[in-house]
Amino acid sequence: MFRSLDRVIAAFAAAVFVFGLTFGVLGVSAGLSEMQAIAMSTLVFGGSSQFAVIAALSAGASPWLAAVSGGLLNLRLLPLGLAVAPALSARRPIRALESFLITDESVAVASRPDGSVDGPRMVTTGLVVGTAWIVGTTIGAIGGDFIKDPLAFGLDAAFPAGFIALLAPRLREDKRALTIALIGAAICLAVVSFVPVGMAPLIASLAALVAIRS
Amino acid sequence: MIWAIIFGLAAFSYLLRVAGPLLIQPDSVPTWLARVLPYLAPAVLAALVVAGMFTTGRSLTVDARAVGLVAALAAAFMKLPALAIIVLAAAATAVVRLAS
Repeated sequence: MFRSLDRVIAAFAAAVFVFGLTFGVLGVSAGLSEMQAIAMSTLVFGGSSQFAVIAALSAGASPWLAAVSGGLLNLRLLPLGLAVAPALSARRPIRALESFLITDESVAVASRPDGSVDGPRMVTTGLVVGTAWIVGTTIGAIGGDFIKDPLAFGLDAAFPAGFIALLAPRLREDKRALTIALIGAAICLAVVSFVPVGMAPLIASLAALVAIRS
Repeated sequence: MIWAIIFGLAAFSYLLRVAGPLLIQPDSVPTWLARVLPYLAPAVLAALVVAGMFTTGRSLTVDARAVGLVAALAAAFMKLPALAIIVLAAAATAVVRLAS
C-alpha cells in the first residue's frame, strides 16, 4: 500500500518536473527574469495558476488582470485546506507552516479510503512534488529551450489519471463519496463555461454539502 | 510590476491554503462540518479530473485526453496499481495525439 503510494508520488513528481521545465522556459519568454520565474514557483507554489499568469502576460493582458486570473485558479485551495485541516498538527504555528504544502497532488495522495487525511503524508508529498516543481522551473528558466512539449507525452492526462487512481479505493467502498464525486464532476462541467476559469472546482466543492444529512 | 504580481499572488494563495487550518480547531469541529469535511477532497478532485480532461479554458472539448480518461477508468476498474493507471492514461493520450 505504502510502496504503491510512493510510486504515485514519484509519478506526480516526474510529471510536475517536466511541467516545471516548461514553466521556466515559457515564463522567461513571457518576460519574467530567471529569478522571477524561480521565485514565483517557490512562493506561489501552484502550477496551474502560474501558467494562467504567464498566459495572460503573453497575451498582452495588464499585470492586474494576469494576477487575478492566477488567483482564480487557486481558489480550490480553500476547500482543500478545509479538508486537510483536522489532520494537521495541533500547534497553530506548525499548522500554518504545513498549510503551505497544500496542493491538489499532496491532498490527493494523503486522502485515505476511510475519508480521513494523513497529515504527515500530505507534508511529505508536498515537499517532494514541490521540490520537483522548483528544480524543474530553475532548470527550464536558466537552461532554456531544450525541452519538448509535455503534451506530446500525454503528461497533462497524468494528473487527472492520478486523481482517479487515488480516489478509486475510496469510491469503491463509500457509495456516498462516489455520489458526491459524480455530483462534483457534473457541477464542474455544468458551470465551467459560465464562470471565470478556476471557479468551477470551487463551486463543485459544494457537492460535499450532500453529506450534511447523516 | 512582475514582482508585485508574484508577491500578491503568493500572499493570496497562502491565505487560501491557511484559512481552513487556522479556522478549524481539530478538537472542536461542529458535527455537521465534521460530516462534510471528508467529502470535500472527492468533490474537488473529481471536478479537477473532468476539468483536466474535458476543458480548454472555459470551453468544453473532447480530444485525445478523453481516450486517456477512458484508459484510466478502465485500469481503475480492473484494480490495476495506481502507477499503471497514470502511465496507461498518459500513453493512451500521447498515442492518440501522435496519430491525429
